[in-house]
Amino acid sequence: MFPLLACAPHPVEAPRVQERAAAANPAVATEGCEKLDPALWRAAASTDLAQVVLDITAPTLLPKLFEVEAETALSIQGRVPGDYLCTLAALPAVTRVRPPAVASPKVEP
Amino acid sequence: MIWIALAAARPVDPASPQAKLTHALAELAARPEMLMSRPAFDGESTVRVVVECDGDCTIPGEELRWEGRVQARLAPAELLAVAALPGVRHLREPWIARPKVESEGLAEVMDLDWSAEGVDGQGVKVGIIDVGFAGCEDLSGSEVPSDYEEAFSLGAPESSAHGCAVAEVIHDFAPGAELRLASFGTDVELGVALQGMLDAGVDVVNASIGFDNVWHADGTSPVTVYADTVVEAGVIYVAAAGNENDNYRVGALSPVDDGPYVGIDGRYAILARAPGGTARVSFRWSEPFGEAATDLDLVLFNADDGRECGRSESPQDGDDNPYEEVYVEGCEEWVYASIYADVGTDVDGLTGYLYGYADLDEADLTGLQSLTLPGDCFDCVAVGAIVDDVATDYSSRGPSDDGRTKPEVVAPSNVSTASFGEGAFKGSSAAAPHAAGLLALWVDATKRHGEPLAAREWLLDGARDLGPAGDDDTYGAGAVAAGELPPEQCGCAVGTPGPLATLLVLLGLGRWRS
Repeated sequence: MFPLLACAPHPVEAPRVQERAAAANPAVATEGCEKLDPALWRAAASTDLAQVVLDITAPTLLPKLFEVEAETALSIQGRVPGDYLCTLAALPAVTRVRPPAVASPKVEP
Repeated sequence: MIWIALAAARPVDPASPQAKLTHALAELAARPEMLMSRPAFDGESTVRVVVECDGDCTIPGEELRWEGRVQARLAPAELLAVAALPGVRHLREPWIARPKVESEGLAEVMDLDWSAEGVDGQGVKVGIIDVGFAGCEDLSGSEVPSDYEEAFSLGAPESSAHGCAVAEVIHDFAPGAELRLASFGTDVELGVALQGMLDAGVDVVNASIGFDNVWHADGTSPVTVYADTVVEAGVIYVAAAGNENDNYRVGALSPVDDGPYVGIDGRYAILARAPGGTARVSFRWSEPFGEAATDLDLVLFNADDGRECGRSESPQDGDDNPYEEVYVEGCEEWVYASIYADVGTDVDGLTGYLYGYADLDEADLTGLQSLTLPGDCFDCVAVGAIVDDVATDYSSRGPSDDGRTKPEVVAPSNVSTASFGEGAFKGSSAAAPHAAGLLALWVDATKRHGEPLAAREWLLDGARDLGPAGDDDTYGAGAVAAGELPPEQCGCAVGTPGPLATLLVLLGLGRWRS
């Protein structure tokens, strides 16, 4: 019935991604980091600038390191060194730190 | 830098040779290395110019002469010298004639010609929000209005001519309308761009773009809220319905043989194309964003050798998003996408939405609920694509995830533009501006600025029914059609300002800095 079952590894045999990420970067297991989107966990282990969106419920104090690019009442888009992501995620008014959603033109080749 | 700016601002003596050159030619005379960037560059060492002169002026490099205008080829170093010759009044680059390209959809939609009644969009402002407007400058004055306004640029405005093709179609319909262009790339930038459109008092917004499978298509996503807020402020919002019908498998989730795999509408190995070995597949399920408690994961296997080539295992424990995405290189050309969970996980009552950024195998498609966002908006007009009155395979179908019939209407695709070529502007991107252009004409004809719901109702009432009788989730109300010219209804002055921008949802709240 399943075309791959005979040859594919069982999908739950490997440690799950959060366990692997926590092993590689203990920061993601700290308080506040739970609001960090898993897609940014790898970025959180680096000092490279990451483009992120903060979903917010109210105006909030932001660290100067956060370079704002665009903002609405609901979200702020900007760049920040990856190792500050959990600091941002821990802010009370921040509900989520995530990558920006990227639009695509609806044109066919 | 300050001194350079001051020098540049110093007025030029109107009698000097420099004053007889257009700004572009004066710049070229000062910086000959710019030669290759000029449209009239001849490929060698000269640029083609037109010298307007009195009497029998003698111009080096002359090619042609007609009634006081001499067409010649000049090197940048010769420009000032020629401008200084006796009798020379002005030097410019030649105007280059281009064949006017008109969307075939114009004749299909405008079954009755409104332009004979003087309705051409005059006094109507149309905002075009898009990922790129490359090439618009070259089409200014022919395919797009010469006075179109580039509102602001976010994202990568030179990355694509897509928005310019949209502008061309709208200009075909409403040559008198003012066009305001704004580029963007992300969800937050869309909000900022829409706020800019509201501040400018536009009547109509066209957005031939979308976000795919990143939120629910039930009217609640941030970008959908932006679109509906724009309508609430009095602006007609026209959205592409999407080209995603070849990309979705949607259905009830169910465990498979009491094992770890979870089926979507009975299938649990869904074949997705991975062009060049790059696989990108996303999966969401019907728990609320920010509140997902059912921990589901996504894994991809090569279709031939069966090896795993990527997985996504974000945790869901009550305050997370019901979303997984794998974006990985090094796979085979086709991969199986499977959902799995800990054995015994309760998925009863959940609906899953699996999306392949390239298409899914035909046997795995469900052919419904494939809207792009914000095509799920409540009060906007989402437009699907037809060719010869038949919906294209890819055109996104409804309903929305909360069961509303979608799209609202359909409109022509595969139309001609100067940006894309003959018949090459394809997709709901091409369809949407046919509706937006018609709605701009409606505002001109009726003078009903700031009444987007009335405009929407008129458009749907006048649509030509296609497919099954009545509204359906492929064609909506049918193909957009102009019909009889609607009467002027409110007697408002042409150019009545659109809604003022005071939207709390879109407005930045400000912030404090540490």
